[in-house]
Amino acid sequence: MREVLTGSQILCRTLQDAGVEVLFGYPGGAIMPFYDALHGHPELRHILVRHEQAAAHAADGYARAGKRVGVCVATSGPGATNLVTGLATAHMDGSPVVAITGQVARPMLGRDAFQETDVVGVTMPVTKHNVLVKDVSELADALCEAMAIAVAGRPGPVLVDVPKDVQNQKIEYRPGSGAAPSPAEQPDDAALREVARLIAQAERPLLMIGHGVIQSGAYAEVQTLAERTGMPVITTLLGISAFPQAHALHLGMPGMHGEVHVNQAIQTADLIVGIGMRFDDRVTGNTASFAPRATIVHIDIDAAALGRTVRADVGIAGDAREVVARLLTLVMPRDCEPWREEIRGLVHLREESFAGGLSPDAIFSSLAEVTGGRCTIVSDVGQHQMWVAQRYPFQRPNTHITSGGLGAMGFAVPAAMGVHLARPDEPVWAISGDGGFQMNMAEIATMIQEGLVVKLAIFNNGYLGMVRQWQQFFHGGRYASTPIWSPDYVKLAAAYGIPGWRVESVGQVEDALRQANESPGPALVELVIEQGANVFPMIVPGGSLSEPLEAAPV
Amino acid sequence: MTAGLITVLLDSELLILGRTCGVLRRRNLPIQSFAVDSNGYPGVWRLSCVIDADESTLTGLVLQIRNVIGVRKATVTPNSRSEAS
Repeated sequence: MREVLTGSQILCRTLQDAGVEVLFGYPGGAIMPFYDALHGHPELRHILVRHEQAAAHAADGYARAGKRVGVCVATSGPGATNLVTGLATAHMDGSPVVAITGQVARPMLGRDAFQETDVVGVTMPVTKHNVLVKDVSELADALCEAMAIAVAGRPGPVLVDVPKDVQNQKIEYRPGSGAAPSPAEQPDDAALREVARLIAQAERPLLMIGHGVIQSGAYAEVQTLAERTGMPVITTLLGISAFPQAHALHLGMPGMHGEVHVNQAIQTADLIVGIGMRFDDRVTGNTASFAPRATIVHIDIDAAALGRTVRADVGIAGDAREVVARLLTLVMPRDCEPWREEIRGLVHLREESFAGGLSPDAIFSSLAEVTGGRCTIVSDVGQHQMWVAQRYPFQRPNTHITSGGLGAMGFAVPAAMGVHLARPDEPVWAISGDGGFQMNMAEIATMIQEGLVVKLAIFNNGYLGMVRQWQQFFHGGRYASTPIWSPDYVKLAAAYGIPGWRVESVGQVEDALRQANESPGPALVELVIEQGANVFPMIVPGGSLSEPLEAAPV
Repeated sequence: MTAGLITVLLDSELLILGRTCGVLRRRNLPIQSFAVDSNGYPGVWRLSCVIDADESTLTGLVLQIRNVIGVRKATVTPNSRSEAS
């Protein structure tokens, strides 16, 4: 005899069948039937966040760290609209997230009912796909399809909007079936042979790798390609930790806050092989002057990304791991020693001083020391994010997670909760500025209630630092609305019942980080850094990679 | 100015049409004409759109449209002479 289930029970059953173990969400009127059904599914662990934005970011962090779909849940209206920033973050960075939202009952749709928002319309530009389920008979298929679409090709967020009466509707249950993900395009043999020929002939080739290498797990293939050809490797912001930082072939990060020698190498290169990245404008600077001497090979799973911002002389649509594996069968061993020697000649030390000696270098070398490199770093957005990217010595795959494309402040703390659930056996450090931390610091309560272990580091300079830096450089030093007051973070930690430390000089940093890392639960370390600290080098927005600022303009 | 004709076959749902239009809107290109009709097959609509833009821009646009779930086919016929020019 077939079971008769409500829509809400079907949602739970379908999530369970899809292997979902964790949901991040916040209940409310239009999603209450689902929560009622969830009560009967203890195998689906629900994390009660303090704001729906955090649910979406946490699902995103869970997805990136766990290489599986992250699921978030919200009610209609404000609950659903609060998800938008998190969905947009996942959309920009290609992270597989499924959002389930409650909606007002069907007879009320379009009548400005209480807590009604056209969330399918609202989220259309920031999701890969979304759907309003109009009948319970469509529900299981819609959710299965959402799970499949989220991971197919370039991953992304999908929203399933379920009216309250559909959640209560009963139907004879049959398991859903999602549309089979369309397979990534098979790389063209002729194009691969051309890439192999270009690599063999180039005098100054570069590999530029991005998030796609992490998503496809192409670490070994990319490292083999680099070592076989001797090509120096550049990692974009989201490509950081796709290649060991300490590897002799690793150069660093390109772009707006990329090291000078990295950007100069790009401007000098005669071949750039971009893998799993999209030549974002923060990477290229002025596209008209980007890599003027280089033939550009662009490999990405999204055919629409090929040549979108920078011309692609050879474009290959496909999964990074599959493409590079096939390329390895065609590439002949070589080295690039003269070119690497040339790049080494471009490296120069830059004098940077920080009050109290509490420099990003000192902080991150201490953090690497106390964690033994065994941790995941989730950074927020701003100056500290660039310092993490430039200076933390990532050695292991997929241990750097950040909001790259959208640049959403407030990302780190909730995303780190998701990372913890995906990787419960090793520390997770959420590194934020004082601005971004205050956006989602309420999630400490979530950590306490749900037993989530996240270590919190706050770079406190009393400013929205990156905006302040731009005001100093480009707006005559008029610091409009960038000074930002903070509470006493040590007392804040105490109020939540977690340990906290304030670090004001370099001599205090290692001890505080070590105690925080070793404490059994969440812990907070405030790092009081110089107020006027700037991130160098810097390419002026829209400027050429050839013209870095290495000191504040006068 | 050159113009191109973009033709999209999509599932006959306003949601899919809305998504497709969203891709067109975001690129902020000069659209000369725009029509949606049935192409004779149940469940399929045809969107036809003439845009003043070069071939590479239109090719990129079509690739983006193909990413919309529910779009069955998207093609560009480049170098159509713009009547407006």
